[in-house]
Amino acid sequence: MEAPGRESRGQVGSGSSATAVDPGPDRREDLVPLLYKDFRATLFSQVLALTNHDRQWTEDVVQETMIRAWQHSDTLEREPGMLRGWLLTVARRIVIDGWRNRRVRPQEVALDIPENAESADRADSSLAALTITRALSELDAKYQSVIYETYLAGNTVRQAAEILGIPEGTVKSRLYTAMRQLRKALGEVTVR
Amino acid sequence: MRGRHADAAAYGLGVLDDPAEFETHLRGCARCRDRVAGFIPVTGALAEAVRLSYLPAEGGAPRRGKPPGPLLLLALGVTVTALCAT
Repeated sequence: MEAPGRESRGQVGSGSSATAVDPGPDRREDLVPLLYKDFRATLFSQVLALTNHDRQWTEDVVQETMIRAWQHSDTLEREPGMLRGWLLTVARRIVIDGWRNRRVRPQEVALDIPENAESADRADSSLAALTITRALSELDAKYQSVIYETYLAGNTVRQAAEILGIPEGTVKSRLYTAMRQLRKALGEVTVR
Repeated sequence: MRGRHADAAAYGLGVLDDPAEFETHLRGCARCRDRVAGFIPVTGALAEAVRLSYLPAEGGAPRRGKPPGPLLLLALGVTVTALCAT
C-alpha cells in the first residue's frame, strides 16, 4: 500500500486515475456507504468462519472493522483489492485478539496496517490457516481422521489405512472428499 | 470417483505411496491436473496452519511425499498462474 491518500484533496478530477473511487472532499463520508455496500457481506461471511459461527460476535467484529476503516479514512487505500485486504487483516486481528481476550484480561490492540502487498499476502495466508483449521474441525470425523493420519501424522496412504483399519482406496476417496470440503471453505475467504 | 482419479487429493497432500505412478497418469489426464492444482491452496493453508501451530503435526512439519517434479509444475503452470491471478 504505497503512499495511501496520495491524491491531493484540492485537485478533484485532475488526473485521479490511480484510485478506483474518486477521493473527493467527502472522503470520510463517502467511505461508509462504500464499505457497507461493497464489502460488508463478504466480510461478514469471512469473519463468520473465524468466530465459530458466532453471529453476534461476527457482527461486532465487522462493526469494529468498519469503525477502524472510518478512523483511517484519510489515508485508506480505496482500490478494492487493497481495501479488501486491509479490512480482512484488521478483522482477523480483532478476531484473534477476541479469542485471546477470552482467556486473559482485555488489552489494547495494536493495529498495524499492511505496508505493501507482501504483508497483505501474509495476512491472507494467516487467515487461510485459521479458516482451514476451523473447517477441518467441522468436518465429519471420518474425514478429519484421514487428514490427521496422513498429512499431519506424516504417514502415507498405506500406513494410514493400516492405522485406521480401512482399505487404501477408502483413505484416498475420503481424502478427496475432505480436500474438496476444505477447498470450498477456503474459497469463501480466499481474497485473491 | 474411481481408480486413479481418486489419487489427486492424496497426491496434492504428498502422501501417496507411489507418486511417480500417479504423475504418469497426470501427464495424460487434464482433469486430474486441474484437481491437483485446485488442491494447492488447501495444502498451502494446511502447511501454514501447521507452521502457526494451529494444527498439530507429529515431529514438527509434516513429512511430505515427493514434491511435484518440474515437469508436472510446468504442466500445472497455466492453472496455477490462473489461480494466483484471481
